[in-house]
Amino acid sequence: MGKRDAQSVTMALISLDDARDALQNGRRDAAIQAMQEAHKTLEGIGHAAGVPVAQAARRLGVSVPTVRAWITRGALQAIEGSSPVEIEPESLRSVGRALQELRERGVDREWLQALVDYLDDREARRSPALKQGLAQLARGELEPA
Amino acid sequence: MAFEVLRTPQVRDAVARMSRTERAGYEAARDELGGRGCVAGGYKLAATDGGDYPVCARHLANAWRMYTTYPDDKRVVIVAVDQHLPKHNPAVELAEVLQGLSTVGRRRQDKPPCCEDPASPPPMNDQLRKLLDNIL
Repeated sequence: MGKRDAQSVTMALISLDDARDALQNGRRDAAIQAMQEAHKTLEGIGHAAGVPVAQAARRLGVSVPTVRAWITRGALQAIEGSSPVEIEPESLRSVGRALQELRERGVDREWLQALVDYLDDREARRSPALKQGLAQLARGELEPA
Repeated sequence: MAFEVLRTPQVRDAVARMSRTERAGYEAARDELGGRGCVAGGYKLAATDGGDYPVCARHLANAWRMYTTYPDDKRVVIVAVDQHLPKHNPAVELAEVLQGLSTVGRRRQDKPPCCEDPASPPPMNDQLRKLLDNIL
């Protein structure tokens, strides 16, 4: 990390300290503003585009195999061509928010798996290939397999 | 007990795009359907309400999936084969579903098999007929 980037990190840390103090004093708007400043400062630093799988797993509170399974299923979006695999930050945030909501509602891990499987089936039902095949079946367009 | 296995033109075209290994997987599944009928059909897809959709799904090599229906107790129709690839940003869909959080989900391991008795295909012929009627 260069000197300029290191200075940016220091500035961001100061903003985050401000945000913490503001929250402790009940000044929510000031806290949000300070966090936005920290975010903006850190955005200026040259950094890797994606989040490594292990870090994503820690952030989401699930196992590494679960993160890999969600990438395969499309619930998390991997950065194309990344090796080792990195996850697109916005995708990680979306799933993180969804998980947080699930946890706040007291939904357990089995239910979450059921939800992912349900989405999987829904995608299958909506598949153009299946729709095309069903339409051909309806018209009696069949041949020996 | 042998079953007549039929396919749609969609299946023919999709199989033509498969690699040699993928095609071997398809042909093995097709042959198993001919010998064991719906027992080889995989699992029933879930319908919108969480019930059973009148189509069974079986996973093939790589991302390929085979979808079957059973017009009667002698015939198997491979309706479609398709690659089940991740969408551009399915996390958005996940978040959307959470807006209307419900209990329609069912874990894959709990999904009902396509059928348990090869002599009696899945009891979904009426559902299938309705589905096809809606298409026409």
